[in-house]
Amino acid sequence: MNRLEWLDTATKKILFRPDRKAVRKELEAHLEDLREASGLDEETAVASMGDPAALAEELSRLHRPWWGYLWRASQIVLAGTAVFCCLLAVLAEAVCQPLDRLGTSLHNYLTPVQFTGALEERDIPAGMTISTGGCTIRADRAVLRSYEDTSQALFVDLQIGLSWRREPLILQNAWSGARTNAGEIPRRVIERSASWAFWQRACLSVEVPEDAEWVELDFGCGAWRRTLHIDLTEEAEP
Amino acid sequence: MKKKRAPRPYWVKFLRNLAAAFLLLAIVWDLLDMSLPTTAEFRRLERQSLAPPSEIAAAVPTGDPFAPKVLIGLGQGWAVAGAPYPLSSTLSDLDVYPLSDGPALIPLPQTVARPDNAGHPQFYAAYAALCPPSDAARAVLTLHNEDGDFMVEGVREGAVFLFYARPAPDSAGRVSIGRSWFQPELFTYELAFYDGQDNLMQEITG
Repeated sequence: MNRLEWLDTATKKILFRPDRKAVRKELEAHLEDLREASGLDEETAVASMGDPAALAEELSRLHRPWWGYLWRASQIVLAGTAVFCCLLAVLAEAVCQPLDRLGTSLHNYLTPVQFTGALEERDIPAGMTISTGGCTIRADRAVLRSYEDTSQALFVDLQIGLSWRREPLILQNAWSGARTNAGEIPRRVIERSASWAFWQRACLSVEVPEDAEWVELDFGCGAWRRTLHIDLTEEAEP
Repeated sequence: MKKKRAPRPYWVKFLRNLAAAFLLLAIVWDLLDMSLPTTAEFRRLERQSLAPPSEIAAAVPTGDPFAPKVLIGLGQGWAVAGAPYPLSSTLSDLDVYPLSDGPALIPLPQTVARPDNAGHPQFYAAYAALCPPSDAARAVLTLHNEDGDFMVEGVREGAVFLFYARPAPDSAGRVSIGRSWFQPELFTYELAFYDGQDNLMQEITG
């Protein structure tokens, strides 16, 4: 039996090809070392390596193919995922769209709302904070604006700390009610809402009757319902 | 001489590749602000609406592959109806309704498809009657909106009755379901519940 036949026989039961190649290479190197060290000819050296069939059995037991196959499959999954992500990214303009959205969010988040047309403005002390559903909602600033038609509206700037999930509040749903000492406020307006990373800023406005002493804004429902109380009789220090 | 590092076992490489694939997918998913599977997306909409997780009372198939189901959730004193889009969170929609004691009617936020006699899908506006009387066998909804008056029989789906209605087709055979079918302030209704002997049990209006 020559060297190649011996190597073929010894490794033929290793089913996973990369393993088979590696073992074959190692056996070949071992054979070369033996020949060089002992000065034997090829046939004698091969014979001294032992029975290749028995070795094949032993090697097949040592080199089960399943983890190798799974590794190959995972390579295919990884490559497939990479291609899928590339396609997805191209389809959704992954480069432009998120950057654009990021820029717009930051711009909206940083730009204050401008209001015009009010005859008089009065700052109300705010600063109350409520926590619910993993968020904290703080009334940053409240301004009572009076208009020519004698109506008045309360504008409240909210600073919302989002949960670790960075999910901005859907204020149309999350802002569940508003009332004054005179009763429920039917008309509620979300003037602005913008989020950036872990924060969301919003400006809400409600029409309040002239004799209103306080305004309460409800957020959430059920066990998550919390109320922000704003006292209209106090005036903020300049 | 630099020692040659022993090759990593296959199971390590296998797990490493799977983790890498998952991480890659998660990063791209998050970067593109992609949505989640239907129920997870519904829960996300609830969290964003500051509504505690509700009990899902019904899942209505819509026939829309992008928003396959409208989910109706019931909480203690509120109800939610959401149409989660598993592929685009920006299109997902959820409405929260406060509930008082007794039955209530809510519109579903999206049209739903139901097969006609020939098996072709037809789109309808759908409504859910929540908290019906426990022994109600039938429910009949009479709806009034800008397209006219419609009377429909409810279909029991778990703890709710579902109603499917739509306007008559125009001269070209098209059906257009406008806003007045979905916004509670744009329609009025009478909702009647009957027992097994067809006696009127309760009627509500809105």
